[in-house]
Amino acid sequence: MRASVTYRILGLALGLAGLVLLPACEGTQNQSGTANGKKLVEVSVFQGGYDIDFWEACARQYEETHPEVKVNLWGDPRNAEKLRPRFIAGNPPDLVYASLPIWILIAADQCLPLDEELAKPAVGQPGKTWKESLIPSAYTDFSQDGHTYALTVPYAVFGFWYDHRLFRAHGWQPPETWDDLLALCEQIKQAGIDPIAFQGRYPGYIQSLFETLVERTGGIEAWLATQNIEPGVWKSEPVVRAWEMVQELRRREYIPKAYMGLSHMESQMEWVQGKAAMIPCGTWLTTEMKSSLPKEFEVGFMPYPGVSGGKGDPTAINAGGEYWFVPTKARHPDIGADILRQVMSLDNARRFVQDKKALFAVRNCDDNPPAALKEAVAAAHSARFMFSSHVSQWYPTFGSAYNEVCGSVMSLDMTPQEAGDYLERAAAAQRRDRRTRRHEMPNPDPFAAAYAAVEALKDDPVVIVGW
Amino acid sequence: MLRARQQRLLGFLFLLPALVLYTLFVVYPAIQAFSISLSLWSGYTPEKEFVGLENYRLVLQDSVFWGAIKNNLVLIAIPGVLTLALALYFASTLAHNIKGAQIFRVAYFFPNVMSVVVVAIMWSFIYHPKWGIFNGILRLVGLGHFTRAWLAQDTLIPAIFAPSIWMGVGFYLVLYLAAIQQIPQELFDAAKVDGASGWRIFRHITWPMVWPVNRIAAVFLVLGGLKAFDFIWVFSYGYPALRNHTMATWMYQKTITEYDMGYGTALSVVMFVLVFVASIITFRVASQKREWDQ
Repeated sequence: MRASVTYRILGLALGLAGLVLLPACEGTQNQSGTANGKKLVEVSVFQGGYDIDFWEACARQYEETHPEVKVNLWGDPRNAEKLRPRFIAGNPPDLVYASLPIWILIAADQCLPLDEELAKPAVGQPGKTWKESLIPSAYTDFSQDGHTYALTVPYAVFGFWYDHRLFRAHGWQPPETWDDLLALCEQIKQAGIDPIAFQGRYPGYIQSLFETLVERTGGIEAWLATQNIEPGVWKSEPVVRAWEMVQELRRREYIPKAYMGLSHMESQMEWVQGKAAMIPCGTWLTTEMKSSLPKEFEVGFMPYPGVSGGKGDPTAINAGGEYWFVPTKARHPDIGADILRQVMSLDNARRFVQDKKALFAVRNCDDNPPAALKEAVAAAHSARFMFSSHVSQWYPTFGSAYNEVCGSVMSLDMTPQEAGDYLERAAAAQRRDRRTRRHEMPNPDPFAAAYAAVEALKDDPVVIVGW
Repeated sequence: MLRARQQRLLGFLFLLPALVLYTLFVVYPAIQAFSISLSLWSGYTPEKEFVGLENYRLVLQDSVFWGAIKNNLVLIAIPGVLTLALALYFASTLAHNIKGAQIFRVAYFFPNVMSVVVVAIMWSFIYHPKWGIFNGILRLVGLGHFTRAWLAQDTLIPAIFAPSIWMGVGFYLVLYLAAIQQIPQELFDAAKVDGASGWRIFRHITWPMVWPVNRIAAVFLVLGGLKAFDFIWVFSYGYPALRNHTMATWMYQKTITEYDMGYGTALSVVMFVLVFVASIITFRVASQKREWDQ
């Protein structure tokens, strides 16, 4: 009798332990497979500023044209964390949009090359391949060894944002050059308004301006060298000069010290409320602030200014994309890729631009942009090329040092020369680190070779005479 | 004899479920963590590359890690000592049944029951560089030139002192108060009759009698300080500058943000050893006999 009671108690205890353990297994459930004769396809999307309604509509659209498929799309702001154990366990979804470390996944053979899929016809654009329907950075940003492993879908370009009404009221004009910008900031300061708001508690927000200034000063080759962490480049003249320029904004209080203690939302609110005239940010800004932007606010965008005497292209624009990919171990990788092809149809892309007021990596989808996006689209279209930074993603340890320097330079705790020396040491350590794969950034300027040839001709009087 | 054995078996069976859970959720992950710390692993592949003690060698050369230990020690020393001093002062005051003592007791203890995240968010408002009350008070008392963006990376660690003290005082106050109330009133009365000053009464009666609380408090402070994470994390929105890391935040950054599971886990093993050793030393030092223990 006693033994029976003992075993019952033991059974109960183990049962309770089982109940505790059961939910732990929930996170590794795979929602793809087959059910009721239909193929179940799982799509995981990041639920951020764009929400998931657009992606859900795309999933339903795919089900209509493919009745044999049931798309199980789920969104979560922290889907990356939920997916991590599933990549280790080898049962990832069929299509993923998450801020996962894409380069680590590519190195770990977790991303399917999309080259064959990209050669398929674009949805709704007869005569065009999927690849031809996309802007180049959509398929070059996440390519390695000649293969495309992820596609940029929504993307952003960076620049200064302002309110047309405020500029009109004071007779201010968007600056063309860095000197113009400094002169404008002085006028704004004299008017009692903070010239530039800054997301100081995330000092990495200055990187888009800093990298643009590197390009403007030293040309795209100088910027490329920073991405490829070439020896000596992080303390080279264009880099140190770019740090001097961004720090100048702080030294002259064009970005007041108070902004170093503000989060991105707090500083963006200062801009929305007209307490600051400009703010450096990507094109997601208006979506992020849509609930706070007054109806009468006339959103304006200006690309970062050129640098007089600089070697760079003043039209080049810094951009960054959010990527989608098909996991190698997906159950239905072909359907996952096919859904992505459908998501990136021209019609869907146009709808995204209108609904989300953000950029989409499909050609011609922003022919008729919403007012808040008009100038950003014009800047993107008139740019000779876009350049997207990968150095922090490729080399996370260097990325931490880079972020640190952004904060120190903007807090005036580090001189530009010290910043250069610090980052050069970090880059040297990264080069020595056998644990991290070295990457090679291709030149984003499609005409770079042609321009270089012309420059070489100019330097060769014999050839010119021969002409 | 058989009965005794059956009872032992029954006892073991009762312990078994807890033992199974403990082994599964504590012992096994700890062993697994040590195994991961000997490998090069991003956390996204089933395979790990064995690298022996390489990660531990890198930890010893890691300047951010040593800076993090310094921050941990600062967070133990400065807010820790101030918290205990204030708690003892308030406890001594409240022990004398001043008017409204109960209200004060609740008021002091209240911050301690709040979540650290809530307290940190609240203090983010207090420290707001444009309209925060902290800068407002500085301006009001004529110290306007001291106003700054307190949560910027150059002042983030000192900015943690005030909320830590505000939150911690209540807890230690209760401990001290309980200890003071245990002191026989006759001792105070006799000291007063002998003409002892307030300071001498505190020095020779209160302080020795509350000494055991100091031992417990020291252990709590050292353990809490070495594990410091929350305030830094919330104040920096999860992106602390390298100079502002503590061991715990640096371990999290390497593991989760930089995807270096092997190195991050090596940091966690080192952190475990340091916390373990520090708690033993603290307890030993605090337990040393004092003259009044005789």
